[in-house]
Order: sequence, then structure tokens, then C-alpha cells
Amino acid sequence: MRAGRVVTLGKGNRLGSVTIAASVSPPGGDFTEPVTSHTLRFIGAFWPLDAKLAYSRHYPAINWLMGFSRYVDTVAEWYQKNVAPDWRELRDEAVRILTREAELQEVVRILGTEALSEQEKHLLNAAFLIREGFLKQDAYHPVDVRSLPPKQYWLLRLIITFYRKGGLEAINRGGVPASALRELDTVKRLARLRMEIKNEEYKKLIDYEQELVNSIDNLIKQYETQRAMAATA
Amino acid sequence: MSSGKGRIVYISGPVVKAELPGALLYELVFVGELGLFGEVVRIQGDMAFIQVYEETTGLKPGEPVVRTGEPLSAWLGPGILNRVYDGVQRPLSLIFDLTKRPFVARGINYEKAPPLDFNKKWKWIPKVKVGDEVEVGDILGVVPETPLVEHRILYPPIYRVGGVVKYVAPPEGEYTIDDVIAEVETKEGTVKVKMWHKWPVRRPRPFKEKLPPVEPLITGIRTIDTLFPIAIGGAAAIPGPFGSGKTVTIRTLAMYSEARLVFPVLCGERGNEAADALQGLLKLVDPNTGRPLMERTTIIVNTSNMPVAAREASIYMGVTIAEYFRDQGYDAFLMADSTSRWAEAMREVALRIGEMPSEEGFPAYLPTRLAEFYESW
Repeated sequence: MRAGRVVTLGKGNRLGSVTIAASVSPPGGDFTEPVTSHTLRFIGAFWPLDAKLAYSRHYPAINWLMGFSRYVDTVAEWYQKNVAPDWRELRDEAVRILTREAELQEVVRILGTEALSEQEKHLLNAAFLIREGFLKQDAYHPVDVRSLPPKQYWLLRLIITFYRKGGLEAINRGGVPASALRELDTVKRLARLRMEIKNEEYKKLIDYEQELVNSIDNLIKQYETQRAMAATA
Repeated sequence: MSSGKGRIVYISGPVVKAELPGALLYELVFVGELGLFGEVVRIQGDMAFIQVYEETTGLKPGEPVVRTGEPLSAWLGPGILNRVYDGVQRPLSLIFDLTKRPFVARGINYEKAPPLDFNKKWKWIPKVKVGDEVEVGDILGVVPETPLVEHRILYPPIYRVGGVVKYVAPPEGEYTIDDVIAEVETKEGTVKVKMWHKWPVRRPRPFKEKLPPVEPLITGIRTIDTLFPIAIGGAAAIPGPFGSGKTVTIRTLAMYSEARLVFPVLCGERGNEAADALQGLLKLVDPNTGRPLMERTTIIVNTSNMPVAAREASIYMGVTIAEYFRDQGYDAFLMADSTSRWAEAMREVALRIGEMPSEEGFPAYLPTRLAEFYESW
């Protein structure tokens, strides 16, 4: 009853709100204990902090496989109108990639990376970039500490562009190995852009997308040429 | 309202059973010779079960219990920002005790430590004039309380009817919060409005309409905003075990989220935790203006010598202050660290009441309390 966005009393249709973020400390990390489980019924967003992630220097240590938000549907409309029409689609694709990464890591653990297809290796590379270049955020870095919506969108979009174009055109059609894509300078830089590009400079990320696309196209041509030469040899 | 006297019958940790005829549920009472803060949480005939918000060590059966006839209330008005309070809104001195923990001696009541400063004079900028019709919730004027927040003085919801403005204090003067800054002629008589009022912490403040949560509250943290967004007016839970970077996350949320005002409620697990978190918050700078973050904050902290029961008071106090600024048209962000302490407090109190000679069982009210606090969509 106490959290909420309201039209206040008084003239003029004034809007005001109380938003609540409450930490819970379930003993032994057991989320089924009464306080946490009851709290989960009532809250809309869940940001579980993970000591293992923190230990491995991933901050903020929000466990992306266990987190959730019941507000995604409703805020998606706002994002689609104010940031980009494909915000939701991009976000869902990122979640899919991260979920699939967790599954593939199990396979790798048992059978090794050699058991993976090029597409699967490529997905792992994309997941790595999502984690290093997007989820991780340095609270002590003046450029990285706070990201406004346009910068957030474009950082993620670049990684998804790499994932999609790399997967479909380069690997699938072009026969380019995942490792070659991963080694492109434009791709490696995706992990660092969050610290290089300020919020107000997000348009540079739009330009960067073209650079990224070009570099993948060049790589595809390179492999095409190599194959052609090998054929005529 | 009568203020009767009663006497302590039985003491069990933070819970006191007293013979207190006429006591009301959730009435604020003062317990023992020291006059410790307590709330009546259950009534059985002439007996009252009281949740005491200070250490009960040394209390003895037979000591007096004094009723106030009022519920535990937040004192709301200019002077509330840039302050640190304990769970019952006693202002903490920033001079900590020798162990560097926030500390309030027992038995300090509102007379000795008023939540708001009644001597300070504020600049008053009226927004209504004589002859204007005002309804409950209208902005009567503003006080530039801090460089970051304009404190809007409303015709407060302690009154139920509006009317016509008969008098407005002129802007050339400066006024204390207890001076009359407007007089409103209503059909129930003349109302003399001051800059401050009291509001019971367990009662949600009224509003016209609740809206569904559709706009995101931008926190600036990508994992949150893109993957697990929170809506303005929504609620989030943050499980944060030791070593998970919870403190930094909470500090980042406080500094960078787009909410205009931030209300941390600190119920630490260990005595030092709240003190450490407090020290950190006091030093923060608002990134947009370079001003101290405290200028758009009020902090509620559990002091090291307050028992678990005080955590519940802290949560309600914090949310009432947040609602007060919501009513002025602001987006308020309440951060409670940690609610588990609150639930443990409830469990302990329930257990102790259950242990006492009593005929009925104690209801399991934990889910209801949490629901009231969060609001489920």
C-alpha cells in the first residue's frame, strides 16, 4: 500500500511517487525462507546480489540468471517510444544469449570447447561481451558509473549486431570461424566502449555500428577470396 | 484524548505487558521510570502488550506506563531534510559516542529532542492569496529548504475540508514552523495552518488515485535498467549477502537514480553495519550539482542500543516521510537495508507475546505487513 505512483490530493493533477528498494538477507542465502519468499510475491523487480560474482570482480554483482522484473512489459512501451522501437526485442535477445551461455557452459565443462559448433562458440563470445561490455559497470569510473537510456541501448545494440551479423552472415553463409570474428579489433573494443563513450556522446556509438558492420563484411570477403584462391590453386 | 497511567506487569525482552485501561491499538506510550518509547501492539481487556523501542534492561514490574492518546507519528515540515533520525524520529547528533556508533541515550523524549527545529526561521514564499479557494492537498506556499529541494507546504491531510483563504503570511517575513502561515475559513470553522504537522506512521497518506507503474525509474545501472527494470512507484528486492557489494550498489542507487529525493532506512545486522553505512552516506555528493547528497535526503538509522523491535518503527517512519514528499509532487526513493531485520523483529515480538500468560494465540501477520508495505500489482 505504501509504494506507488499517485495523483496527489489538491488541484492540478500533481503526480508523485514512492519507489522502494529493500534488501533482504536470507540466512544461508536460502530464498525459500519466509521473509524472502513472501517479499518475492509482492515486489516487482528482483536483483539478487551474488557473492561469487563479486569475488570474481563482476560488479554490480547482480545474478542475471536469477534476477527478474515484472515491469518489463509495462516499461517496454515507454522505452519503445522514447529510446528505440526494438528495445524490448534487443533486451530479450540478450537474456536469451545469457541463458543459452549457461547451458553451453555445462556442455563445455563436461565435453570441452571442441564439442561446440562455430555458432555455439560465437554465442559464447557474444555472451562474454554482454557481460564484460554491458552488464559490468564500474561505480568508480566517471564515464561508466551512470548510463542513460540512449547509451545503454546503443552499447547493447552493438553487441547484438555483432552477434546477429556475425552468426548469420559470417559464420553461417561465409564460413568464417568464430575465433576470427572474436579477434577483430572492432569487436574487442566492444568490451571497453562503456568506459570510453560518455552519455552525451552516444551518437558515436551509432557511427561505430557502421565501422563494426564494415569490419565484419571485410572479414567475410577475406574468407571468400581465400576460398576462391584455394579452389583455383 | 485522555492520558492515563498504568503499571508494568511483566517484561520479556522488548515486550512489556502492562495494566493500562483504555489503551488504544498502536498508541504511543512511555514505559517505566525512564519513559521509554513503546507502541501498544495488542490489547486484552485492561492489559496492553507494548513493543518497546529502547532497551528494557533495568525495567521492573510496578513501574509506570504513561499513555499519550496518540499513535506513533512522524513530525513533517521544513527541517526534516539533511537530518539523521532514529526509528522514532529523534534526531541523532552527529557527534557519535566513543565507539563511533550513532547513539541516543535512553529516555530522551520529544521534548528533549524534538524531531524538528522550532526556533529556526524559514523564508516563506506564498502561492495563494486571500480569497482563493483551497482544497486539502493544495500548495499554500514553498520554503527553499535546501539548494536541492523546494519544500512545498500543503494544506495538510490532517484537515478534511477545504475553504477560502482568509489570511496569508506575507513573504517579507521569515517564520518558524510553528507560526501560522495561512488561515482558511471552512464550513467547520477557521483553520490555522502551520508549516508542520504530525502524521501517524502506520496510516498511509491519502491521495486521489493510484496509477499503474508504466514509466521506468532510471537508475543508471545497465543491468537493472535494461534487464530488470524498476518502474516509478514500483518495488524491488535486493538479496545481498555479505561480500556481494550491496553497500556500493545502494550508494550508487542513492546518488544516480533519477528520483529527486532519497530515503535510506538503515537497519543493520550488526551494530557497526548501520554506523558504517551511515558514515558512507553522509559523505556522498550529488553528481548533478556537487552539493551534499544529504540536502535531498533524510536518513533513518537504527542506533546500536535500540532493540530489534525498533526496526519496524524505522520502516514505517521512513515510508511516511517518503509519502509526505510524494504528496508534494516529488519522486521519492526509499531504500531499506535490510528488511529481514524487520521481519526478525516481528517474529521475536510475536514469540514473546506468545510466551506471556495469555488466552489467545498470536496471528501470523508477517505476509500482511509485507504486502501493506510493498503493494502488489
